[in-house]
This record gives sequence, structure tokens and C-alpha cells, in this order.
Amino acid sequence: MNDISDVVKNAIGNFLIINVMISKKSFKKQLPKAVTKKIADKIAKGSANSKDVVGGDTQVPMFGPYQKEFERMVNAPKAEFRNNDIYTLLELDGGRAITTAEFPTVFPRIEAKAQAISDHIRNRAEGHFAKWVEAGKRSALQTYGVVMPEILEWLEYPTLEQFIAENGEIEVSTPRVISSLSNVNLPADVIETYAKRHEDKAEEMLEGARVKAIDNLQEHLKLVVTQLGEGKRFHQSLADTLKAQTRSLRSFVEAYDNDVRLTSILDVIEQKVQVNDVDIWKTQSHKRSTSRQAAETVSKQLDGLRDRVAPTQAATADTAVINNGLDLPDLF
Amino acid sequence: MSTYPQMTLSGIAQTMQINLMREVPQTMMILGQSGVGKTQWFRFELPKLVADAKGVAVDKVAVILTQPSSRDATEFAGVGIPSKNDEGQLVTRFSLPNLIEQIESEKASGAEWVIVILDELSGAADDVMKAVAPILDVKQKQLGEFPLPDKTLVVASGNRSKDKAGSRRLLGHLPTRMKTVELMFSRLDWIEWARNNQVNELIVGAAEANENFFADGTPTEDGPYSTPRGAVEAAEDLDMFMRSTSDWNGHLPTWMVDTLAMNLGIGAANMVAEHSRLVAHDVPDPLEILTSPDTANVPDNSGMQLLAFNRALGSLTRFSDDAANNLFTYVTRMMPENMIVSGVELAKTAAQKGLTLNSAEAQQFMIKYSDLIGLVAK
Repeated sequence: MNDISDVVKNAIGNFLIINVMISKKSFKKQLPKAVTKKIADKIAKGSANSKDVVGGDTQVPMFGPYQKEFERMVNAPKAEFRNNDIYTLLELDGGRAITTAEFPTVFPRIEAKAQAISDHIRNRAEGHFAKWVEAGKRSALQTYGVVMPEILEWLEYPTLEQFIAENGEIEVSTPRVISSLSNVNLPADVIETYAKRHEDKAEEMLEGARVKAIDNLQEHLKLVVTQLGEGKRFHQSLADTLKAQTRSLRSFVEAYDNDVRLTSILDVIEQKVQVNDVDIWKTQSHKRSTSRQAAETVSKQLDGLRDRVAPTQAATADTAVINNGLDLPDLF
Repeated sequence: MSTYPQMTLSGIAQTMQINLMREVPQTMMILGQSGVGKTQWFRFELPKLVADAKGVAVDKVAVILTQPSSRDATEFAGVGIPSKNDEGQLVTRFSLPNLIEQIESEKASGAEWVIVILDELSGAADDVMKAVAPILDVKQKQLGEFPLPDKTLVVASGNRSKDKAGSRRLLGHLPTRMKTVELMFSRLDWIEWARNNQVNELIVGAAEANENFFADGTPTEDGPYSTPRGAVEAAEDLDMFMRSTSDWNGHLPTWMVDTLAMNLGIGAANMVAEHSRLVAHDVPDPLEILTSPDTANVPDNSGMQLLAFNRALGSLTRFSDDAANNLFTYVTRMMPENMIVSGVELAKTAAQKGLTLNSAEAQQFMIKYSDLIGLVAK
């Protein structure tokens, strides 16, 4: 018979947690208040010459006209990696969870992609950083030099090595299991004392992750319903995110409690809502309509399954309601 | 391939209600496979809608059924006859089409509205389709040289070319003159209609318990197949059989199954026989299971339990959202070996049908047997 220990213990063994650190600096610096005030005063007095100072943006783009190039070469790949590869993993125990079934394929892919992005950023920085800095300094001096002669010292440009060290690295931690007392070398009575607390804690985390995964999917389903209803603003990400969140919830449920009610709803999403190519929604009103209706229905169904009593309570509740209290597995 | 919108009869009725709000309603044509009730609906349901919409008694709505597929074009357009005009010149006059005469005759007999059903229109010859085209057009309403009398509603029915009933694609200008829809047959709508019309419960129950009771299109093999029309005919045979067999115990003799097969095809006839056997074995009907899951009989026999469950599963959407939870209650009273399999099947079906399975029992079950469920679900 399953009790909480079985379900939670199994789940603990079915997930590996990783932490991924992605630094993403904007390289835009907010002007000090004294300087912005000086600019405002000049503008107010009408003495501000457009050649001397430009009003408006009080953030200084450190790479001047190359700010967008820097964003495209350095920050955009990291954002894409974070959104598509990391944020699609469920939050669990202070990190991101990968099921053990998926680990052999998912983790090496994440490590390889992180390394590839680091290499890409290093290459781009070595080729362009000096140009970015030079143009940024010239632009800053030209725009703000009148009101802030010390602007270049204040901006504190990093060296190439510092820039690469601070912006080029993506740290992927060594995978770990959810905190557990199993396999700890302690006397049995001590283990027993603390095991329940750990299981409760683990259950709380797993239930939280379950609700979060359902919420994420539901939120996106609502967006799908709205956009399919309006019949416009279809971006491929609308379909891709739906697919990623469906997959994420499925792998979580299969590793946690095998709730066939949820996996069956995910089947329906895959069969009736999802499309591979968003052009199908753009061009086929019938498919748009059926996807929308199905999305509305499954969203309501997910509502009905979101909240539940904790598995511990369900497992230890009076079982008389089921099969007149017969212990099912013993009868097999 | 056709691109006509597909609707069930209840959807078509809603469209027709809107259509009838016009002073001069537009012609509507229903396409669909044989025997699914297209003509029947026009004959017996449409007059009620017309009566409601136009504020007349239903017996003041007359129905004329005509089959263009067995008529010549001249019967609709009239025959050209040379005759002299006032100046003595020879001109061509056309005879009054019989259909106009019939409509006027109904009006003379007191009908306030007349429904003309052009039955099997898609089976008519090209020249016949061309001849009737003007009465399909709400802006023309003319047959040959003669205008259609006021308060006449023209409707049409027909098979699709894929129905192998001698029909073919409509001439291109016809669908532009009328509303044309493809009937999407709804087994559940038919069950409701059949119960309201006292169709033999064994036939209705068999249709309810078996999603594939009715043929999905015209089979490739030669022979009878199950359609609503055939089901009604078979039901009448069953009524007669039951009346003539005083000690009937629920079992149908082979000759009777074969009799049913003449209208239903052998597959559906066997379903009726099986259903009849279940009734004899105290297998509760879906209604009982889904409304009284705590008290509905759970047969001792494992196979009968599964049959009871499967019949109820096939009827889930006829009931409220709680139907899935109620059926789950019944599942928990089944034998252990049936419980897991049926619980998983129910969860899958509930998801497909848009129902929520979230009772405390269901949740407890999912946690308690998660490992076995995982095995069965895979």
C-alpha cells in the first residue's frame, strides 16, 4: 500500500535539482540626482543648448551607439537560454528540478548550451568590446560632459577581462537531490525522529511545485484563449510556451504521483489545443476555434484539480470509502 | 471533400429559428448520410418551428414533399405551349407547374404557411437542379413563369456524393442561393429524441451503451448498416416481438437478431442482443449508476461489472459535471481488479469529455494507488 512515505520518498528520488546563475547587466547607469537636477535647471532656464546637453533619458548607455549591438550579442542569448531552457524547468527546493528520467538528456544539453553561450560572448567581447567602450566614452562625454565633466571616471568601465568574467560566465551547479535524511549515517532512532519533518517539508515543496506548474499552464491557457478569441497577435512563442509548460507539468506529475487525471488533461491539451506551427492558428479559423474551446474546457478542469488536501492526509484518511476498506495490493 | 459547415440537428434548429425571423425566410438545405433523419426533421420538427415563429397553429402549416430526383425539369418549369395573344400573334405560354398548384391547393384548404421539401435534391439531374434554382433564391421565388405563393418556405435535403446513394455535388450556383449545411449526426441527440418518442428501450439502451452503434458513414461492404431510420424500424419489430412473447426473459433468439440485422446490420443487431442479455443479468442502466452510484447494483460477475461501467462511461456527457465523480463512487464498489483499470479509464474519459473528476474519493484513490495507476496508465 502507498502511504505518504512511499509517494514522497519516491518523488524525492525522482528529481535532481540544479541552480543556474546567469548574470545579466544592462550597462546603463543612472545619473546622480545632482546631475539630473542640473540638466533640468538648464532646460527650465532655457539656457540649455541642444549641442551642450540633451534632456530626457537620465540613464547613460555605457556603449553609446553600440548599446543595441551589445544587447544583441551578449544579453539576448542569455535571456533566450534563461527563458527557454531554465525557466521551463519547475522551481523546487530553491532550484530548478529535472526528473531523473529526463536528466541524462536534459542536463548535458543545459551544460553544453551554457558553455556555448559563454564561448560566444567571449568571442564577441574580444572582437567588439574595445569599440563599444571607445564609442560609449565619446558619446557620454559629448552628451553629458558639460554637466558632468568627470563622467568617464564615474562610469567605471571594466577591462575586457573583467567584462568577460562578469558577463560571459553561466554557472550551472552540480546536481543535487531534494534535501532528505535517507542514506544519512545516523542511528535509526535519530533518523526516525527527524524523518517525518523532512518528509513533511519535501511534501510541502512538491505540492507547491505542483500548484505552481498548474498555475503556469493555466495562466498560459488563458492567454491562448484570449489571443485565439481576438484572432490576432499570434507569435510562435504562444504555441511553443504552451508545449513547454504542458511537457513540464507532465514530467513533474509522472515523477511525483502519477495523477492520471492530470496526465489525461495534458493528453487533451496535446491533442486538441496545441499546434506545432502558429501559422495553423493564423490561417485556419476552424482549428483556432476548436483549440480555443478545448483550452477553455481544460482550464476549468485544471481549476478543479489545483487545490487538494495534502497527499499525507489523503493517504492516511479513513480508507473505508474505497472498496469497503480492502487493502487492494494484498488482493493481487 | 466538402467545406459546408457541419451542425447537429439542434444547431440547425437554432439557425432555422433565426432564419424564420425574416419576413421571407431563406431556403435551407441539409446534406448528410442516408437515414439520419434529415427529411424526418423537415417533416415533423420544422412545422413546429414555423408555427412558433409565425404565430400560427401547427395544423395550419402544411408540408409538401417532392422528389426532384425522380422528376423531369419540365414538371417544375412547366411545358411551353404555343397560343395566341390578344393581337392574334402566336406566343409561347407555359403550363402551371404541379408544385405551384399543390401549394395553392394547400392554401385554399386553410394552410397559412406551406413548407416545400425538395427531398434528395443532390440526386436530381442537372436540368432539374437548374429548373428549381429560382425557388431556392429568396430574391426570386419563382418556378418557371410563375411566382411562388407568399408564405411558402422551401427547404431541401440530400445525400453527399460520398454516401454512395446516387447523389453528387450540387451545381455550383445552388449553394449560393441558400443556406447549406452538412448534418453532423449526434447519437446523444437521437437517444434523447428516441426516448421522448417511445422508441423501444432495448434499441435506445444499446445505442446509448455503444458509441459505435450507428455506422459512421456508408460502409464499403454491401449490406444493411445501422442508421437512425433503421433503428426506428428495428424498434418496431422488437415491440411486436415482445408483445407476441409472453415469457420473454431478456434473451433474443437468433432469428430475431437476424430480423434486427435486416434493418441494423449484424454488428448493431448483436449489440442489441448483448444489451438485452445485460438487462437480464441485472446490469444497472447508466442513468441508475450515474444518479445513484451508492445503491446501484454492482453485479457479482467481473465481466458484467465492466460492462455496467462501460455503458455508464459511454453516457457520461448526458449528465451533469458531477457524473464523473458519481461514476467514480460506483467504481470504488467494484472488484479490486476492475477498480484500478476502470478508475484510470474514467480519468481519461472525463478529461476527454471536459468533465472534472475531483471528489475526495478520487483524490484519495489517486494517491493511494499511484504506483499501480502509473503502471496501468502506461
